[in-house]
Amino acid sequence: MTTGRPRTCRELVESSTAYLDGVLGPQEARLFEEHLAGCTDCAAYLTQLRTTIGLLRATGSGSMRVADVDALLAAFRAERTAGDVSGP
Amino acid sequence: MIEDSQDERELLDGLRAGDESVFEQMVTTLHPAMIRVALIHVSDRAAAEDVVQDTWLAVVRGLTGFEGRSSLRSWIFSILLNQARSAGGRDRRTLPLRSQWRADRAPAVDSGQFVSGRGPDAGRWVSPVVAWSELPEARLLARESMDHITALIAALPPRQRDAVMVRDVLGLPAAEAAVRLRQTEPAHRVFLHRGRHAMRAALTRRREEDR
Repeated sequence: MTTGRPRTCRELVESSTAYLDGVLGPQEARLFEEHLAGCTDCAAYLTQLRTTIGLLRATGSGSMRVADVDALLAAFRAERTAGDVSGP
Repeated sequence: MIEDSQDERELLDGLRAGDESVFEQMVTTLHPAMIRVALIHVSDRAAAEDVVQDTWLAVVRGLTGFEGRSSLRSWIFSILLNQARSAGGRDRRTLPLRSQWRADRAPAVDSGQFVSGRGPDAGRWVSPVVAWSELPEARLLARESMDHITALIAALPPRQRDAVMVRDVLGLPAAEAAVRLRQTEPAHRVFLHRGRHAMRAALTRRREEDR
């Protein structure tokens, strides 16, 4: 399926998500990395892609005040009491 | 926090034992991501807060019945998606089918950016890729407001948007994301690839405008 032919920039871009997911075959991964090692544009591109993913990830983390954590704790407590038939 | 199975086990044990500090920590940790997801489906912050609050109540009620067949995080987000979708209802932004079809089939990176033909340079970048400054994400985020990024995600074609949300914003692993989205893993990866590249392109445009 794979050949030993060096990868082009375009092919590197096309397989970048699979590469980051670690699902490229060993030979494909090697060709990907060989191209990357010798190509500053693709290195810059992969950094952009990683940064984009990092930004997306960061939107889903960090601290944020929970509007009504007390109400949730009360519900948690109430459910626990209602459902607890086996406890001491 | 809810990354590996050991942590997950302990978390679940804590929750089932009624440990309120465990519950509170979980709520605080997941809250920002949940608000982001809710904001994709409902139009304003207050509505998103409501959706997330309702989700937590459903989680509290469902906890005893949760059997651990999926990860806790994944289970919570599937409840959230249902709540958000029903709250969003007709409001939900959708593209006409035809443009969805186009958006899901276009190459992730515009083919005009690569040298065409069969010459020795075929497939190379036409112009140099600009190196983004290697700022930590936290500092980049200060520039790209979270709300702006959320708006960019919301504007993606639906399947790309869902892939980006589930994999990158929520951080589910590929196999689990594919199951959640009822896609094969390779198909899911295609949407993820396109979605990420659309985000990268949008961020690149902003950098150029800033200059």
